[in-house]
Amino acid sequence: MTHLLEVKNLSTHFFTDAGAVKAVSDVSFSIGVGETVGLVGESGCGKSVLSLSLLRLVPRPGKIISGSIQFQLSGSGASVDLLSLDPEHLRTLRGKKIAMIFQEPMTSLNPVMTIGDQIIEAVLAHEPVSKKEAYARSWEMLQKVGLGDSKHRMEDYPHQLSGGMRQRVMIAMALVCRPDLLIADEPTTALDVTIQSQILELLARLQEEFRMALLLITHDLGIVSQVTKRVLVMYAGQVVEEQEVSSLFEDPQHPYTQGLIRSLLPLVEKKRGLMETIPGQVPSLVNLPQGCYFQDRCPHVQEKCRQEEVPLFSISTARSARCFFPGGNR
Amino acid sequence: MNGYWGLIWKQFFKSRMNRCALIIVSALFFVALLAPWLTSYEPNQYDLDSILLTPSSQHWMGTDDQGRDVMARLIYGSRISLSVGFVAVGIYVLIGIFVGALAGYYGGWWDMVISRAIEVMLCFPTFFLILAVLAFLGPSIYNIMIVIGVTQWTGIARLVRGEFLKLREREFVQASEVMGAGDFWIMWKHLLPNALAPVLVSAMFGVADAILTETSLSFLGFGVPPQIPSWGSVLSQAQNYMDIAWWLALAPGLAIFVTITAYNIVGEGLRDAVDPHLK
Repeated sequence: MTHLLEVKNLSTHFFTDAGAVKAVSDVSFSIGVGETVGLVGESGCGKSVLSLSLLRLVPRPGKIISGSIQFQLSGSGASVDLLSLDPEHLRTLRGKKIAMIFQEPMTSLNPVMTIGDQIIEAVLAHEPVSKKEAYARSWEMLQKVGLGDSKHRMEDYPHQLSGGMRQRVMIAMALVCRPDLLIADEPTTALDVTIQSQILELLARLQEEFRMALLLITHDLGIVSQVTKRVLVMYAGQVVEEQEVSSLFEDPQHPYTQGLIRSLLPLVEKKRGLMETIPGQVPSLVNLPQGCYFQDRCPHVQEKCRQEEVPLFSISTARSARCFFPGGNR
Repeated sequence: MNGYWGLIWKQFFKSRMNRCALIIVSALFFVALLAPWLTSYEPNQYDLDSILLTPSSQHWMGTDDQGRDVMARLIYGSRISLSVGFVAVGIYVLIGIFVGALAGYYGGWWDMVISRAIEVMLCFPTFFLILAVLAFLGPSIYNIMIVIGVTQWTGIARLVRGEFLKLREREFVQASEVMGAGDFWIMWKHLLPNALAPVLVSAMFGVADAILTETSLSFLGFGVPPQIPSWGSVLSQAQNYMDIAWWLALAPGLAIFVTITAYNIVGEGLRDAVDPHLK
């Protein structure tokens, strides 16, 4: 499969008074054309910073300190390094080739603009078309996301819509230019469960229709298993495991992933007792330990884990873990 | 139109006082606009046969020491006072938005420099600065507009800076950035429309302030040249005849009082209407 996006050794640090916060350390992964990849991890593990790094929109005082992000341009087949691209050129790619939607549909829309105008703006930002054409495309997109009940929708203000409807508008804005890659940063976290599944279905349907790749960021393993094929698990700013979803739940390799899956609530309660958890706390990103970042919480920790930096070991094709003793081999 | 401004408008119109004040403000506009049709006298038409006449059916507000009709002078004077108010505020709102936007949007070094500059500006006693500048430049309404405009922008600048600083962190700005919008686009399309309501409120108070400043300057003789009628100059000339011609001071005094009060009520009404929407 050709790679649409190939990230190599990406590190993003925030330079604060307390020291450098290593939000993303040495992350490498790739996404194929039209592929769906899940990125899971707990709050504060660097998922969102990673996604903003891909667009070079890390807020101050954050800085991408190393790495490369190769992005394949459709049509010409040439690929560009997003990290060394000049800002003007990069701006033409944002929204046009790579789009992004956020967690908070309630505040991601401008309260003083109609939703129609906001989608039209997304078209006009990248396409040299007339206002009329932009309106037509926006209306078509609004119908595709399931808000085509009446033309008055275009004149609605964000406060007149529910959370789910607003997220649909966000999706329409993101997809109206037919991007090759959509980064969805916890797109359903703020929504209730029934709306959640509707939005995920919508995303899956549109993804197929537009042949677009999807990087789905979430902390919900249920969503990952429902939508994606391949998963990256992040912990303390690193990718600790990469796996096909089909094998992730049966055969997790990294002890952190194993812990995550053990701590899922069983659908049928087997016996009374406490929910399983991973003991300990995430290390401070300012003061990361030497060696493996998971050492203090790992049930199988060895002396080696405290001494040496752990690389991402490839276990088989499309399967790797950042652990000296992956799976049960210890 | 519905939406944000529609809601503010509706809220504003709920109060009877706001409605009255708005009627007075717009009536003053028409008075200034239609001045030649509202009075048959010229503001500088001397008539030495009818000096210091008390109000009558011919001269509704009496005449002054040179036989000029006081009402005509006030009506033509409203043109001067209102245009000074609006042009001066227009100038400083533009400066304030520009400066405040730079500071609030780019932050960091820009914000440091601009905020310090604002603090320096605030240290000057503005009225005396205006007085001093006008003493050099000579009295003319254009000088007054420009001097008020370039000295009073600090309030708007601080307001816009604060709003931009706050709005800049909102998700819809990030969403727009992700869509590939540039800095100017984001400021123009997303930040400014959201910051405009408080600016409008402040501008409303500003107009009242500027009219008062012009009046005070003219009263002190630093404003418009004496032959040009403005409320301040009419009032200034009245003080010589206070004991024998009460109407000379009462009429311009009343005009100033009513205008300033009306603008302040509109400003206050707008502020209250805007408030619940400022999240």
